[in-house]
Amino acid sequence: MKRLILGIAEAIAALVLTIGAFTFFKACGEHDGKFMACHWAQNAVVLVGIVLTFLALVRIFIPEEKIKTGLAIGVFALSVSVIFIPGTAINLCMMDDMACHTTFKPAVIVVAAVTAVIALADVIAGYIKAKESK
Amino acid sequence: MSRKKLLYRSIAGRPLRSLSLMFICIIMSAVVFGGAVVSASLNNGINCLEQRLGADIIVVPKSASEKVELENILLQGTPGYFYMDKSVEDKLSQTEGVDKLSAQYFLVSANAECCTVQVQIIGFDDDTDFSVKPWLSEAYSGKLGQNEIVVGSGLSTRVGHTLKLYGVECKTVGKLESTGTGLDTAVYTTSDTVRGLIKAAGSKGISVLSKQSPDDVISSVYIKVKDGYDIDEVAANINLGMDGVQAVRTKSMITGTADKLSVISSSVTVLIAAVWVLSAVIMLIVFAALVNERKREFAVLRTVGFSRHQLAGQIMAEAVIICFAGAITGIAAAAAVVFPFSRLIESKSGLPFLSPDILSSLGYALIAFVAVIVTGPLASVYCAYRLSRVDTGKILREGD
Repeated sequence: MKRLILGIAEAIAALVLTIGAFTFFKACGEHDGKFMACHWAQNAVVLVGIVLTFLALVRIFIPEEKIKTGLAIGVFALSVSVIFIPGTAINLCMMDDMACHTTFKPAVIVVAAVTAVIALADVIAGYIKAKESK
Repeated sequence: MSRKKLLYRSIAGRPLRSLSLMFICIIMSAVVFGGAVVSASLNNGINCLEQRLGADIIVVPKSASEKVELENILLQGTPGYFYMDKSVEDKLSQTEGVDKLSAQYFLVSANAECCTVQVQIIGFDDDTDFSVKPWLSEAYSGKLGQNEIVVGSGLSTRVGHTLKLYGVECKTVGKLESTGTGLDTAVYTTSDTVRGLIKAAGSKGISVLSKQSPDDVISSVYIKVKDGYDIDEVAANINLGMDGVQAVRTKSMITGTADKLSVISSSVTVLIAAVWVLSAVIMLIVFAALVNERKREFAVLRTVGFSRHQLAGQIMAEAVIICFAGAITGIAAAAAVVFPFSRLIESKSGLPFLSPDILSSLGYALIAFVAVIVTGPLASVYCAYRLSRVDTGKILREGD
């Protein structure tokens, strides 16, 4: 039950990251038919978000505990990598009062960090469960 | 069963009760920590702005809508420009009480190369400047050369990199410290570079600026008043003696902002106090309600050998664990909102917002943590006292 709750929480957080990145905390929009640098960071976050959501959903439906733990490790590693996409791996706009700096980057960092923490808790819970069942 | 395991079972066995108590602790610590950081950030912002402006008086054209345009540029970072005749600078230098003065020239870039936004360009006099160079966080030696710029901390351009303004490649040679205001997104350069930029703008068909060359006009003059002179008096003399200009005392210019800030700070303090008191009262009620609910449980514990002291300790330990988890979660949640979104808070509030340093932030976190960790166990004292004194025989007989 505890692990199921963690699995659902992982999937919700990954979904928020994916949908939020191109809706309620999206980067700067298109201007005069021109995309700014942050647009590509947004695309990258959405792409990784889709993979995260897929992994989290698979993790809910697969019954084997060890595979669940393995998938949770994957979700954790991917979530941590998302934190470094905006501004580090892919440049954002020049001025830090633009939407990509004020909303997109902090929101991605916070949601990805929350996903990583949940996934880490899931990994630890899986490890404890595996140890107890031995 | 060990006491440690009993403690764990007692908390995890009643998840709704434990989570409700934890939720109160989360709200309490988040409000105390978040409120303290927001309040400190606003105070830091206004103090930094006052120091950063560096001047006692700023002289702008009267047409600058009674300070509003200058405030927009300084606080909100809204790019803008206004001009007055350059002869004003000479006249001001002859005014009694003026110690140092330095003129600045405001220019707004066409969209910079990377972003479709305008950038505020401030041309300053390298020889007389006393308000820009003292705030260089990344030092550069010597004077600014042609097409060399200094950028605010809010621009991601790094020292050594170039920025294209009106098609001209400008080399970044310095970066200013953060102020939490519109000054952070401005570009600073010399009048010679500004002339070059205007020329480049003209060649790109943007000729509106060519009539407003820094050879003929300036936007503002920063004045430092001599020791022993009354700043208000010097400003009044300038306003009386010169037409078309407005001398504004720097302090009075930010007074409006400081007043707004003081109202917000007071509201935050009231909110913190209200949430604290309310949380303490709720905890007290919840723990008092537990007395009846857990009488039988504690009577059984007494029969298996728990002393009164140990039972009281059990209740206190539960309260400490729940408060500890709640305080940590609340502080983390508030930190996840206040620090990453500081630029958003600044742009939405229109107030200077400069987050406190790590040490101060840790101090606020410690205060919030202590506030919660002390309040919870204190609220449970009555419950611990009552439960440790249950009449074991009577309670167990009642249950039969």
